[in-house]
Amino acid sequence: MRSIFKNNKQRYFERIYKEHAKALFLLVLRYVSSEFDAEEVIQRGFIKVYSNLDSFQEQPGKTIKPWLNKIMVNEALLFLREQNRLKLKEQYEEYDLITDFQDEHIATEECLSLVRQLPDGYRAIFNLYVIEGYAHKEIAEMLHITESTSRSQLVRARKILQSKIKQYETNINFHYPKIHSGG
Amino acid sequence: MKQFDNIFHDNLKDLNEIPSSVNFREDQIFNKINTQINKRHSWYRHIPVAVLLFLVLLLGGVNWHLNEGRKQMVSTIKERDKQLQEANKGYQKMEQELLASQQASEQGTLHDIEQTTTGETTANIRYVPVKAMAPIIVKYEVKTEIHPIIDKRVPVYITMEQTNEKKIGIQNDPDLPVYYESENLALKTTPKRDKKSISQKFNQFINN
Repeated sequence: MRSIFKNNKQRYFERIYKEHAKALFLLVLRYVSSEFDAEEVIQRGFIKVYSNLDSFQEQPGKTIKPWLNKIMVNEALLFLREQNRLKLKEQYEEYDLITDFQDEHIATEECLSLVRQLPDGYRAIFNLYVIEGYAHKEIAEMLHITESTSRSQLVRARKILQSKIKQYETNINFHYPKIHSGG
Repeated sequence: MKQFDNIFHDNLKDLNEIPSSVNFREDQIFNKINTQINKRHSWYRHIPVAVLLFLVLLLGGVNWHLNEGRKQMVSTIKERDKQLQEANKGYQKMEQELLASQQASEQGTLHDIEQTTTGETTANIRYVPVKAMAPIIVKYEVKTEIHPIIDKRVPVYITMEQTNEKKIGIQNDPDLPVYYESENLALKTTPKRDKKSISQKFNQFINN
């Protein structure tokens, strides 16, 4: 009897992995940057998913994707904390808002690359706030920091990204001037 | 900054396709996860084995402890047996000697007994002859008369008043004993009686 349940669970888990592994890997990659680290986090996360699968199945009508995302985000943050990579300090500095920022089309791959280039602390807060949609209060609770630290880190992350986007645009214009002028 | 954030949000949220620059080893990771899950579950299988091993070790330990105790007991019993055997040998020797002495006494050769002695010291009882004497009978004659003997003269201190009284008594009638006491002494010795009946008071008056 138990083996039947176990086989069912195994099959269910395999299906979950097949369906969501890629998306979850990309999610983790946004937090830990390195592919090797992302593999480690994915493994830990899926083991947690497997062990908590029974408790999830007890809650009907609940979609699995947010649950999986939350597990992976938590595992990624735990991994960064374990490696002492989340050094978040409050930084007060003048920030010049870029008002003339145009809604340029940036490729998905490039977006991911830009985010992965950010320092660990900035990247974590940027991901949590911009992509996952957490509020500063929630982020502060998750990372055991103050709300103002979360805000200042986000500002720094945006600034770095903006400068990188500008650099990226100039490079494209430099390498492919005809394509842009022609468009 | 919503516009800026939206670029990243739209591109990266719900991203399903792995970009060409990223290498995702889907199957290898899944195999690793499976191995780890099986390892985790196989750990529980070892519990009965571990319990069994622990019990075996425990029983083995108890058995060893009992065996050690038994060995000690056997060794002490052996030692005791040895001591008893030695003692028995001594008794046998003594018995032989006694038998020999008995045989010798039966045959009438007493000198052989001396030869069989082991050289051990024994208490030699010697009876000393005592002369019979006539018994001394003490006769006590107790007399009932007691003769007082003046041992020591003790000085008696008497006040002048008492001496005068004595003198007066002697002057009045030296042959008769004087029954006189001072007022102070009378007051001290005789208790006061406030409540007296009239007949008693009258008698006292006559007496006085």
